[in-house]
Amino acid sequence: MRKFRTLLLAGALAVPLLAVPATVTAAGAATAGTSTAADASTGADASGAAADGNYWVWEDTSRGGHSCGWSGNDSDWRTCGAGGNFNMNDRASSWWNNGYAGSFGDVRVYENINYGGASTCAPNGGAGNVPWEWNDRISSHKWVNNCGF
Amino acid sequence: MQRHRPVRATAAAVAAFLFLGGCGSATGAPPGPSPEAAAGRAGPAEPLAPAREPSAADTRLLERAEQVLISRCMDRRGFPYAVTEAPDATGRSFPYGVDDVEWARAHGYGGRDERAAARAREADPNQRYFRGLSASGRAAARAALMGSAPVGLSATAPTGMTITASAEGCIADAQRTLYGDLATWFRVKVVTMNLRPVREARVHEDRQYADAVGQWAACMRAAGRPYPDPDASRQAAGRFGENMAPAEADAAEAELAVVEATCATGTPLARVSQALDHTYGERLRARHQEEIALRWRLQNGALPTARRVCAPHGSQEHSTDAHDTAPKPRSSGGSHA
Repeated sequence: MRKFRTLLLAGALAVPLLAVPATVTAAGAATAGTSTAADASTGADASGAAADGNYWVWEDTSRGGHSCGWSGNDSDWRTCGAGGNFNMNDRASSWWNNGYAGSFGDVRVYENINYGGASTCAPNGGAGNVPWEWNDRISSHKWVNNCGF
Repeated sequence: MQRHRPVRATAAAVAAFLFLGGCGSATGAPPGPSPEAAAGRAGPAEPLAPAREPSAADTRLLERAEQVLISRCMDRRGFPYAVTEAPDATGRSFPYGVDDVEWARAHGYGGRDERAAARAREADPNQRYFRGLSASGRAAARAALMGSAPVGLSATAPTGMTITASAEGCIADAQRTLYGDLATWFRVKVVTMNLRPVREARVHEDRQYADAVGQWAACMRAAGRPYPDPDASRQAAGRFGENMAPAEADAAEAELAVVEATCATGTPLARVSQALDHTYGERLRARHQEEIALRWRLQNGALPTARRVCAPHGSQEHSTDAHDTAPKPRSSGGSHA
């Protein structure tokens, strides 16, 4: 599934990943269920800007490029950010689970919209690059107590 | 530091949850750090603890002890942290299509249950406390909980994902206290928590599953619901809410789920997917038996520490006065629930 919508912020893709930390943290005051979009030029980055209790994904590896952050679940990554004007569907290449919670701290990401298809689980506090077979394929996520086995 | 103001504002709500979390005991303030915890004891308590699956009660004890240790650690760092108990179940999942007609009638695809779980997470006292902090307060609290950057621990999940995390912060400290070897615990946790996703992926890729889905899709087409696979119908159900009122969307979701489940049980899909799930589950357990056994050994080895942490009268110190003066509600009811 490749449901790309118009790439609105394409110009920011080339911005290096370690941008100014402080600015985006303020956007993290989201209530559960909301999402936050930021592009690298405004500073969502690995060094602490996104350290806000949300689950964050980035378009590029090593937490670079456009990013989206969620405090809640999102069944459809086609619309993330304030106003839902950024499409992260099938585009994420790295992520960081910053969830601040005693329960529902782990995150399970899914290949398809509405929690379908293949999935993988990340513990609270975990981060990583998406491996090649997962790159640009993730479409939804939910917070879980544990993924079981 | 700004962080002290929001701390006071939410102390009562947080303390209410803290008392709930006294490892099954509602007798008073959670005990202070044990000597082992305070000393940051290294090394598993019982390196040769049995490799048998911990009981559900033991697993809950370990989870609770970890939360208590995290709470004490955060307390020492100036942040209240409530010990909460995760709900037992967050609803059934049907990775191969809904195949329980009665369940489908009552729950649809589980959309309503999902929303309830999301609300529960939103009501989590730690979430509420965290959201009340200033931006700098949030950054400080988060760093205290899970370290400043996700580096130090690394493990590759069987899904192919390499996951890193910090070896610092209160979560890492709590797990180190319980399990001794934090790097090993992180590795076995990452591997075992991803066995379920791998298992489901194997089923989806299996030819027998594809054949069964074909028969299911024919049934769905005959019923006027021409979806090629259960993933497509689930996605369609997820979109009902876009142009229907919630109650109407729930009803439409349930109606579709009932058709889906009727077709799943009326064709080989339900039987085939359950059989494949079992087969791949066993295969994955065999392939990862080393990590599974190690996880169980670490868990069983941590039980004595967990019992000490959760002992009702192990208290030595308790530094946040708000906790000592708070009431002791029994349930999660109250203004913050």
